[in-house]
Amino acid sequence: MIDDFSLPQPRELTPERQRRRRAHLMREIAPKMARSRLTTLRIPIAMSAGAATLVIAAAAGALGHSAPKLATASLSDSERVTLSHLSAAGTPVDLPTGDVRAERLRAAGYTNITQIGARGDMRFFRIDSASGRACFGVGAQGAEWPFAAIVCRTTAPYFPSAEVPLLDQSTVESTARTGPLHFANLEGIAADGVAAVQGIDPAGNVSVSAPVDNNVYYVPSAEMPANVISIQATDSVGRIIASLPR
Amino acid sequence: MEMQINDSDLWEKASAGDREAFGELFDRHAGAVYNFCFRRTGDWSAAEDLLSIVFLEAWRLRETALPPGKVLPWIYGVATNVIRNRRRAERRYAAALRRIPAPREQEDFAEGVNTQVDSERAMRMVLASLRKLSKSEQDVFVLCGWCDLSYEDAALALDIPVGTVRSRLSRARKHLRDIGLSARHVPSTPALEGGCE
Repeated sequence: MIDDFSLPQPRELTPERQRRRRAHLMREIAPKMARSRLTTLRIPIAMSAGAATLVIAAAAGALGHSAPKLATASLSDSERVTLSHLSAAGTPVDLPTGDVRAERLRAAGYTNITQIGARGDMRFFRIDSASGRACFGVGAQGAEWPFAAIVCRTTAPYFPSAEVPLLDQSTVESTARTGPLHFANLEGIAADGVAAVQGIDPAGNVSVSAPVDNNVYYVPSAEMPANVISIQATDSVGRIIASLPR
Repeated sequence: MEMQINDSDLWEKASAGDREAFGELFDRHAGAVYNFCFRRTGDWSAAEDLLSIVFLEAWRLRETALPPGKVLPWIYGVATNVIRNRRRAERRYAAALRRIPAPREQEDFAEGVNTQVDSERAMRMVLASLRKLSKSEQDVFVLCGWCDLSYEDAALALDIPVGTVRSRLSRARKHLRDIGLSARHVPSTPALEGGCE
């Protein structure tokens, strides 16, 4: 009786449907652009020892960058004190109610959110904890959840300080289109006493300079030259306070 | 005269990353896989998406070494696994499926919705009967009984010994007889010839 099984007649995909499915298949199996994992991450970079520095150390290796040293040895005591502060008052921010991420931040003791500043389409935040240690965030204007990335330094030296005058949250990228590893933008938070953050090209020249205003610096991707392989923080008289990668 | 390259050579090229060779395999076997997927689901629309998933999965597994002349049986095996783990497969390829552009033409309507609905209803009736078998018996029965695969090809597709194919098929036939399935359970359309192609 098995032979009695009768089946609906097979049918063919219409040429249009088969062509569409084939085209889709070809697109899906095409080699994807060789994007670095770094391009999908916001890389927190701090000009000091610690985990964050290790990230950029790897980037520095990829860049073949000869690392300059931190220049804090030449700073006076008063300058070092200045670099230990963020004076931007900012404005308090309420996190969305009912958001599990907000609940987790509160549960971890991070209760006071302050928007330090806004540049272009980005906002910069300070997230204070009951312990007195702050985290710092950056996120797009208008986003319901304010933070695209939050950086917390949990070991000394802390930011801000003479040892860590910059909490850089720039994006470092390398794609088939854009070539070797380089800074795709400049953004971050700078300690008092940092006047500018400069992008440096492979020849060591200043390729772009971002003034620090109320502790925030920012150069959007659209205005960023494609050849910046390191950055340096300078004071009001143009002295290099620190550079990155180190 | 142009010589047509055989499936195994195309597979070898595809294994080395040749997308066009893989596209040629798709052109050759899309119809068979499409109908196979329909016979396992009773749903033409689902079969079309499963067709895409099966070939995406085959591409993912493209480094699999295949004996000469066994590309299509192996693809049936991939399809069997995809359908068996359909939810997982759909999750894995959900993003890819979302990128399939909507059809520009409404050929199904032009072709006749009634025909499609009738064939789906008929197929589901057959599948309802088939579900009285164990899943492993169903797999063997569909490949050998409905797609005309040899025992050896079914063994390759299902990655089981030939003897297991024989015994499962034998059990499947017996179970179907035992439960008294006959032509009255299925539509009276002519029995299919020519396998799933």
